[in-house]
Amino acid sequence: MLHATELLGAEAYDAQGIFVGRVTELFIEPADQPNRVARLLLGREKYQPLVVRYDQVGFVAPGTVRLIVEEGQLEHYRPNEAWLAVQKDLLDQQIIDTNGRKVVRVNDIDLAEQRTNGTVELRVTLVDVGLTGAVRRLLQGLAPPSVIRRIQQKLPTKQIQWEFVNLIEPDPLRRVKLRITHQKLERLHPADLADIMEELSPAERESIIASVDDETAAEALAELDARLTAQIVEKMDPEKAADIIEEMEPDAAADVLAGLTPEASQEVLSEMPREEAQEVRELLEFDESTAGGMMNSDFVLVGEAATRDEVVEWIRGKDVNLEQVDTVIVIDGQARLSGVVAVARLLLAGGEQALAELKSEPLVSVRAEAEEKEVFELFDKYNLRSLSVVDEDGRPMGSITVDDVVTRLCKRN
Amino acid sequence: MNWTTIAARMQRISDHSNAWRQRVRRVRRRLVLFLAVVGPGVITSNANNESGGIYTYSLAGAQFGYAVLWILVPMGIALYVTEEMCARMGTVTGKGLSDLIREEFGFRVTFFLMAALLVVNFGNVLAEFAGVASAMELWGVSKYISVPVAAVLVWVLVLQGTSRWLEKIFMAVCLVYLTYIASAVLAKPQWLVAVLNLLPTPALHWIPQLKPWVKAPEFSTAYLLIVAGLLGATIAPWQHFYLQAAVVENSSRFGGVRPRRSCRGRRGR
Repeated sequence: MLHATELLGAEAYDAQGIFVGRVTELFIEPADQPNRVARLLLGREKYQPLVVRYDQVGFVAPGTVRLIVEEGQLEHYRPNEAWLAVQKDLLDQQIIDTNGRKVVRVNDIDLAEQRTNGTVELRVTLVDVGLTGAVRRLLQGLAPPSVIRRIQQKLPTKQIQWEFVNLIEPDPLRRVKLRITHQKLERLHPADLADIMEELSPAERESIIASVDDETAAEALAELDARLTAQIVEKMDPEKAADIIEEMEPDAAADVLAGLTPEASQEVLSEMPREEAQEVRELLEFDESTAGGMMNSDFVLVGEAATRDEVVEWIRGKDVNLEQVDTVIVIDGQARLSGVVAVARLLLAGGEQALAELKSEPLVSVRAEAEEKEVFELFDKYNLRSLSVVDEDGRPMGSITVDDVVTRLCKRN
Repeated sequence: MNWTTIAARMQRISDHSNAWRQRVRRVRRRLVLFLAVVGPGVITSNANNESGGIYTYSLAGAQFGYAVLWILVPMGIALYVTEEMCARMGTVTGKGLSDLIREEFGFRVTFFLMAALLVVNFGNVLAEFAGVASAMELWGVSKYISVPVAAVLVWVLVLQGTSRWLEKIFMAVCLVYLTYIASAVLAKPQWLVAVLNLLPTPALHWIPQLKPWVKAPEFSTAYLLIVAGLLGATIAPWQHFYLQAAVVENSSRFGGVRPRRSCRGRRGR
């Protein structure tokens, strides 16, 4: 095994044993093979630098590279955007560890040697983000490699497998050329992705939001710090912003839009489908510190006479966020709130039981104008998981779920 | 007058007040943004006047009088350039100074730089506490009381205070520096001499007409030492790190946005 920093600065000799130059950069060609060191750059002081292809290398050791060709057969270096430069693009830069779900800085890169009939290929295996890499970087050139290696054996290692490394490249064109996708990020929990984004610079945050799918972007933005969310959305093309915000729950969408300037918010709303925009607009009307400002207008609403089976069937056919459905709201003949049914009760009820029989007692609801403090007290008093919000005629307008309450309470402290 | 006209009039009044409210909100936003940008600058430049700085400046003045004044001009320009550069880098990259140094110059350079910074900062802290001790002794408070009290106070502020909060405290403390202006007047300097000495004196004293007022500095060891001290006290390393960090923090806090609503949003669909 070899470290990239042991190779940088190494002396390169050609097939005749003549000194050619020093290795100044390692290039990976992700479009070809994602982990192979495809090219070595040889710096030659006042002469033009040369490029060594992976199949021209015969021997590699810390500080030395031997080629199997002569100097004349090497190409001159021309910058190539599709090459990932180990020194420039990786060492000391931030990357996302998709397995450990955090942002880390690269200290060194571990390379494995692969011998095939007379040539040596180098493959990137691990990224060193711990103390071992740091110590090596510090001592390199000051102490002999054998001493450094001995010190390292006693240090704890902190490495990430190359497959779990997600590079951060703000430039979209370069991202395409380097085949950087953020598919791995789409599999993270949105809260983790939001944490990761908070550690990055604005340009990098924007690049991540721009390159993941709309659904992931929506989930991550809803979890992100409200100020950062607003910052990202305001820079976005309104059409794209509308696509992403459409994917959010109406209450989360209202939160995001409320953080924007009125002009930007109007622009995004005008790009959204009319029905959804209307829903969000209504939520925006409420003062943020009232029950109306907390509620979600997406909820499951059924009539009293409906049976358990009918309701379950109906929920199945509807596009709702299942993780958010804690209760089903029941209305009477005048569309007034008549009760709520916990989903757990629905689970255990007989198929033909009418919802009217399953209602939780007592019926607790709150007016949209109620202060948030009142909402907190109701949640506390009745151990609620969700609370219905009604208008002056007692008709349900939305519901507040316990996660909204937790968010508010954590903000107050 | 029928009901429709009354309703229309009411509507117009409420429209009007809404527009007014929006205008107020916009002005307030701009003001907050302005303060967010100006704040770190004011704090950095004033925090520069710490006890270490005051020692050096007063020592320089006491030893060489007006002959050190001219250094302030090039020094001010240098300070302006470096700090402005940090503010720019912070705004553009959204990253701190040490992050950028590492990304650009590699691990080892950063390590030694940070080690040096640690030593320098430690020296700075010592100077601050020496300042606390001597300042409080002017009021007759023993240094054995004032230093521990100050240490505990700083400890609590650093560990418990948020950066927003700290910034507010610093801004308030900065008002103290207004007294500098008063004390400059009260010291009754020879204003003409002072102004003339702001010009580059090493070149100027060759003009015979100015000789009575402008004294050429003799480049002795003591003089050069003081000049180096002035430079070090003015263009201190920590302030660049602080300034850039504050700019990054504030531009994400107020990046054209009003802070609002949930500390964390809710799950999307």
